[in-house]
Amino acid sequence: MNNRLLLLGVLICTVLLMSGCAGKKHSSPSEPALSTDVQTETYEEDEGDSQPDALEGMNRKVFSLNDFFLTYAFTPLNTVYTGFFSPDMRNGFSNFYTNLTFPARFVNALLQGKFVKMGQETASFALNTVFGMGGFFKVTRNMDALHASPEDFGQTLAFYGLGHGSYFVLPVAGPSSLRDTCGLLVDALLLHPLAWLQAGAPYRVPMTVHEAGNTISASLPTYNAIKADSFDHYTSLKDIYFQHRTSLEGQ
Amino acid sequence: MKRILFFLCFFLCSAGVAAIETPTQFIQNTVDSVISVLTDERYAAPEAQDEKYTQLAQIVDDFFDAQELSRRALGQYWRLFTPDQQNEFQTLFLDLIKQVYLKKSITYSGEKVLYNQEMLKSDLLAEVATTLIADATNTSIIYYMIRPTPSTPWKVYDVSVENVSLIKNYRSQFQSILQNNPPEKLLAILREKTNE
Repeated sequence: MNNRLLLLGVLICTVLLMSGCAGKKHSSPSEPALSTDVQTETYEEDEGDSQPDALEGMNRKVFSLNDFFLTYAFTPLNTVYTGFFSPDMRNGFSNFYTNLTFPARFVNALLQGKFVKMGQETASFALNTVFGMGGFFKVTRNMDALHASPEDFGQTLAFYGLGHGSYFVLPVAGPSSLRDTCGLLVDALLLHPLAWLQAGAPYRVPMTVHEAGNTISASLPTYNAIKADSFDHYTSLKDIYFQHRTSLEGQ
Repeated sequence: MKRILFFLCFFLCSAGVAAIETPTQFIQNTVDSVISVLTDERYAAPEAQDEKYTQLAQIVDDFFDAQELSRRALGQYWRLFTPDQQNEFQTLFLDLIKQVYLKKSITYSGEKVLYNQEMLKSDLLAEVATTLIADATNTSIIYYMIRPTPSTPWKVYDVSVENVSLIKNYRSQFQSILQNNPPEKLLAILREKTNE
């Protein structure tokens, strides 16, 4: 297995645990939607504290590279890809991979003691796998009782009080934080069924690449819309990332 | 006589209540009007697009609260703007928000809107949670509303899509611009953006 990568992940996590705990501030950031005292909350609030970006210089460089990659390398490929596969097919792939990563959501719900969520995830996984052709069709889409916000290891770390550390832009994968990057490594290397396959298994690499490509392809229109509507694309995406993570942590 | 008075009272009261829309009615009426224009055959032709846009712009004219939007988007920097700059910012920012909203609306292709929950925070603050049901995905959209007095109509001061607040997002960007630039610079950028 990827022993070296694993070791790297554990190492980063340890460093973070030792240094990054200070980042957590519990002024109920989990409920951006439900502010009661609007006057004081909204007018004077500064996002700087809750959105640490100690690595901004490097992040902006990686961000520009990613943007260049998306615009000039990925977009042409994507035109071919979307021309070949219908939206229904691409959505089916997306459903399939989401269903496949059930173990990460289940284990992370367990680690946070969210038992209702474990039940919802298990039931969704069973129904979609059996009646949705291995997860290709999401038969539980309109079953509201089974909908749970997805858990990941980054949220588990947050649950136990670890702060983001700093915003961190990953090559290709894009917005993340130091903490969530550790989470991503744990989820991808320990809890992803494709990582359980033998290193030489023929489907492992192509499926991982396809999963990533299909995901980026699905988010490309949103990415472009945000780019067009923003004044400072980098800051806009950073804010969206942190708002999104805060909302997930609160659920 | 008493009975007549009672009925009169009852009638007047209910009429009074009906005159002011509830938060959900307010959102629903606007969304329905927008959809009816978007699906109107008369505006389907390419040469009718300008007319369609004018119609839509009129509908959303009273949808947003310009001052509330602007104060929230500028946060602590609001006080650094002179009254004239504040006024100009309000006008430009409202234009921008309307543009963003209409640009999203124009891509409408038969999505359904579910009105899930209405929350009255107080007499003057409310939230309406909706779900936009498209072919492949359901998107949660929450409208945040405010009114200056209980007898005035509601207006929207923020919209959050999948729990990401639009105004907070603009605030983070404005803050990053205003940290190193004077208000005039932001106004110049806004002027350029809304003229595109």
